[in-house]
Amino acid sequence: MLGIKTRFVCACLGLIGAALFAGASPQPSSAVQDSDSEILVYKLDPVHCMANFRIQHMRAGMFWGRFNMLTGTMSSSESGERAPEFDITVAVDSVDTGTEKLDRTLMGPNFFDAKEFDSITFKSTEAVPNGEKKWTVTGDLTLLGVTKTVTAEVELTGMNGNPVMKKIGYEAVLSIKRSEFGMDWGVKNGALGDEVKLIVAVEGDWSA
Amino acid sequence: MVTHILFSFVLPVLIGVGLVAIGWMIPVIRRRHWLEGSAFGIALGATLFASFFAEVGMPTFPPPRSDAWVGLIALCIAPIAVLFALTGRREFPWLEVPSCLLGVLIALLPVISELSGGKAKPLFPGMTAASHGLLALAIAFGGVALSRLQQVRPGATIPTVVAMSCGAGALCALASGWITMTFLFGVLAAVCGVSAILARTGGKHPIGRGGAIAAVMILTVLPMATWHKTTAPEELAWWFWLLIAGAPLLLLPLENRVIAKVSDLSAYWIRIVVVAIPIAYVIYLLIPMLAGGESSGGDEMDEMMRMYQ
Repeated sequence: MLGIKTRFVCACLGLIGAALFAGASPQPSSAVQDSDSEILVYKLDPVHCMANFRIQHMRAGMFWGRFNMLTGTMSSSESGERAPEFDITVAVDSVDTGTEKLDRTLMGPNFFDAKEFDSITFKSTEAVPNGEKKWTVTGDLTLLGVTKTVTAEVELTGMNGNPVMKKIGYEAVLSIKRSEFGMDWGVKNGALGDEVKLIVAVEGDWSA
Repeated sequence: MVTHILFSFVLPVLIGVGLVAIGWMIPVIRRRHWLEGSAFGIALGATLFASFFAEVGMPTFPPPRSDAWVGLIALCIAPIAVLFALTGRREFPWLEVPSCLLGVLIALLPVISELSGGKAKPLFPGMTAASHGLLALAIAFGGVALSRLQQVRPGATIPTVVAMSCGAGALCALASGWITMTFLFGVLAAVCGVSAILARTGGKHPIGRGGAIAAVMILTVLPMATWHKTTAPEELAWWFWLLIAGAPLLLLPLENRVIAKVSDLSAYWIRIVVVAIPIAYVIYLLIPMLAGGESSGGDEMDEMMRMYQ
């Protein structure tokens, strides 16, 4: 039978120990504690990210282009099972169609107006699971200064790493009507389609 | 494609040519000097607005995007042309003060927009306070210079050189990647060209102070908009626009005693050739930009190889 004094000393030592342990293992800045598992905030790796777009040309063929510079963050649980969150910025001047003249036209006022709106942003607001490692992600897309709510089908394409470095990849597919964002050149006369399909591939890095 | 060309090019040109023809050919209108002196300006304003409307739609104020300023300024050209034409041939300060006021007013459009609830931003992206001042100065000086010039040089000369400047402007806008601006410069070049033919064949019609100020507004605002709104090729320098827009001012030193002694037709062609020299030089430099720049695949391969190194 321990005396009151001994029990008090033990309790104090326990508290000091717990405090020291907590101090010895601080939370990494890019990790947030969740109820089931740790949430990791991944920084986008611009080299391995791209946003591809597809649009109909002259009511005939489908034309593809892409944006090469994507920056921002995305977060998910360590297991990847938690619904992801995205905060992505696309640099408009990274548009790439393989033809310099066309890139210049796309950066011009008839289309992305790069001098006035240098970026396109997407910030997710909600994600609903719709299969294994698949979600329907809703978010705010800002293009030409106009913000609209869009929905994308997102799939976790893979994850890899170790306790100090991790990689995660997602692919998102969505369709938008560009005229809703004020980009309507060529819509009425059928030179270019209104509907644009986007396939966005992102890869993020996390390090402890 | 056909409807696009019809609404953005053919109809605006027909409107412009129709207005010039009405102003210059109908005797009842010709007798009213302020109407004759503003017909060319009204035609340029209407043409510019019609083409802008077909391409972009109705501009709103305050404009959400800076290219709408082109449409709003186009709307103002016709009434401004009438106001300037009403001053007739009155001397100082009837031309100088309105020209300066107009320059200052256009340079202050962003401030007016901000006071009306718009966002505080330059007239066109990247324009500094100095650029706004330069624009005001160019409009004021150009307005006075071209107005005085049209008084001593009625007829086809001024419409011809403005047509040449607008034609080169269309090529410059095309190289910069702005399709709408290419159409705008194109329709203006066509209207000026037809006006020159009308002036040459149907009597020496003066473009009037109204026409002069309209041409100056177009040759200052449109190049400024294109330069600041587009991602032009590196080879396309700012002085390309200076040569294109400033070329008509070469007519000023050509108003001298030597040229005055030459026959009317010869003097016309001398003036046209002198103005054409800087414009032709710009077009010569633009040709490789309009023809080249096909695939950038080689650069992409280099980037890919760098990733794996």
